[in-house]
Amino acid sequence: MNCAAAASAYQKDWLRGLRGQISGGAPYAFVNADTPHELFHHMGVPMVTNQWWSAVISAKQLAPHYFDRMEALGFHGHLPRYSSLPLIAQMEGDFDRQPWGGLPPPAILCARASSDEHPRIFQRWADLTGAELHLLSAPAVAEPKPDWWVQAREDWETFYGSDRLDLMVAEMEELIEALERLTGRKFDRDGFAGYMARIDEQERMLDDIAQRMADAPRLPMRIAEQMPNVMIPQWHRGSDWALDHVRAFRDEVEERIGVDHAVCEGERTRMMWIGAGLWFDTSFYTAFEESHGAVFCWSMYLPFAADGYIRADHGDPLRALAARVSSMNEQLHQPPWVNEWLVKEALRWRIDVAVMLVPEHDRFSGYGSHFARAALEAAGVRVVQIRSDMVDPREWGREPVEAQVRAVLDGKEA
Amino acid sequence: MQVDPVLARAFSERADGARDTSVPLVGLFGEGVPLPLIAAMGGQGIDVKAPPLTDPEDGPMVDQVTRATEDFMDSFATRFLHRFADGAFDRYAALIFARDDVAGLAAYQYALELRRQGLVPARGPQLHLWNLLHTGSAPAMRFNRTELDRLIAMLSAVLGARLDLDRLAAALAAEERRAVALAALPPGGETAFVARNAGRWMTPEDHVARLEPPAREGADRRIALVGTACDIPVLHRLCAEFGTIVADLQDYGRIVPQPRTGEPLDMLRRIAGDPLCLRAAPPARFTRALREGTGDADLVIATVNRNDDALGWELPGLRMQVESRGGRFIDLGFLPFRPDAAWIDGARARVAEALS
Repeated sequence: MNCAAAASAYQKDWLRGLRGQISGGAPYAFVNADTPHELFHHMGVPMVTNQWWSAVISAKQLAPHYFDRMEALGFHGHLPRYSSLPLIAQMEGDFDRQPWGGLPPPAILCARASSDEHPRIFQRWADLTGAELHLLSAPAVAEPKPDWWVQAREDWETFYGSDRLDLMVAEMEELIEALERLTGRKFDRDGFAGYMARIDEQERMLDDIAQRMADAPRLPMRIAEQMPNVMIPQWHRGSDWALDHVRAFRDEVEERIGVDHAVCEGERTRMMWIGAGLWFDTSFYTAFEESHGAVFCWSMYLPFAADGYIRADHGDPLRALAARVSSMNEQLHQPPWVNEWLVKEALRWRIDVAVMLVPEHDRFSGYGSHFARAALEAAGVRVVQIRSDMVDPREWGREPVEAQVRAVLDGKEA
Repeated sequence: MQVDPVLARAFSERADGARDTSVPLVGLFGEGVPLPLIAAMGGQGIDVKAPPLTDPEDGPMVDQVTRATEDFMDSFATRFLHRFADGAFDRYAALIFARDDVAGLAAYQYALELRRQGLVPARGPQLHLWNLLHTGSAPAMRFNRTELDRLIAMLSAVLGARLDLDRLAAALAAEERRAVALAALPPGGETAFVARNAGRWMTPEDHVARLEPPAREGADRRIALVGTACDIPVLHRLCAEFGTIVADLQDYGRIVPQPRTGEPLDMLRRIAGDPLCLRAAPPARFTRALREGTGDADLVIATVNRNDDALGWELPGLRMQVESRGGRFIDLGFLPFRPDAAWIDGARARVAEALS
């Protein structure tokens, strides 16, 4: 079994185990991706991530049913979709329809107010399940310096701002108190430093893997394999399994590079996939290999594991965690951060063509797209913007989108 | 009843009408900025979010902005950015963007980025993000206090003035007089809507001097409006055919709290406590206020902007609550930024049907 398959199998087993634990009365948390998962892990509270669960529902081709249902319930058709899919599934309450029998009610909920829908979606979860709700504030960085990936690793105090970090730490302390009440255990502050160090080790390995893959003459591993290899360990970051898996992932990549393995023998065009995964149609990522020797080398998940996560602890791991979380999602979507980062990455990975998912309904993810396009084009990268959604296939047209990409690839080869 | 011509002109021309004001102008994108503070430091707060009424016909279209803005961006933000790039605010001392306005952060970040990339001239006002959190927790209030200090420092720098407590007291009193006068206006009707909002482009003194409460109309059919920001009285005009608007809970329809005292924490508490700010946290606070605010309406009419991320989550629950108490609820769907006759006719038919 290769690493990606092992990760997926682990996650499936983990969820099965989680269901067993919960049935036995163990509390679990339902949280957004850009929240401090580390606190839940360190307190031993199992956790399901909203966006991961949304991707699973979408991959099972269930999204159209739920989005039709969402509109039938009176929610308007332009509300964001990525983060709402699990809520609608939960509201419907037909757990047999859901993947793996659905989710039982969580004990605690956590979201950041980074985008306007998140507090409301989580408020609905709280109303529906009675779970305790923790909303973390998301004031913006008032003077965003473009090269966040440089500044945020070490000098995050200056970069993110002491007042914002004070706020995030204080709100995390409230969350810690809630987790202590929930578990009846004290938060082990000394142990937390060690735990954060393990996460740092994990993310640095991923940083190393990204650099090796970027440097490799030809792409050794498709992004559809990269994603589970990165993200499933991220959902379990700092655990023994996560570190072991990332080591195995590194070994597999190293081995492939060592034997000059290429996912596409005739690789001649390198592409980046910008945006969240196309969860309902991941085979799209290989659609241009045979015809154009065009491979998707890059998705955000692997490089972001380093740039978005590595934060020197400076003797205060909780504050370092606040630095990791306080602008996590914003760095991927807001100017000048997104445009500058994508150019840096495109150059590092020798990208020829960028295919950019512009999700009109998930506006938070869609903003900044035109700035990013212009910046990439100025750097010599051809850009294809496709209007679709990461989890909703109802308006996805595989053929016209393929034609859109092929036209650009043909143009490059002409 | 005719609206006062000075108020009508201020409402129509908006920021453009304040061009010749001798006082330094401070543009405001979004609600929740303490107006008396700006006045006390020698500036005049001017709404820059709502464009002049003639903007759809003669408003600027700047290529750099067209290329940078996605077509699903909030229309207030897009129109602001075109006007910003065209120099409409060049002589302003500062532009303040409220983070807790649903379009404020994007407007700020895009303006900042256009300037950083040299796509618009570097001249012009200081751009300032007002990060105030509409949350009452102790950590949030500590954060808000630092935001207030940052705002005062910025105003001090651009206006060249220190905060003077006597001037602040006078500005607070003027704003309070305006609040009293605004409270005397009926919540509905085109005349009141125009009169109320004209003050966004006037000093409180000039505004109050022109405010005369129009007669409150009989409330045979009591109508409440809920929705995202709507800066024109289109629904007020329409609803006058059917009944009386007893509550307009949308931005530009409602009166947003302003500070009453100069004590910083009290000032912040007043603004942060606004439950009808769409980003008020936790959202249950907004839900309660929405339900209370529509509680005595026979008909609740909902509209949202196409880029709404927030209010749409409230509407099914609000519908259920309104209908369970015997009221009627209609969701008119997406309100175009400037609705055409066909949209208005369709809305009229829906309201008539609901009330038949």
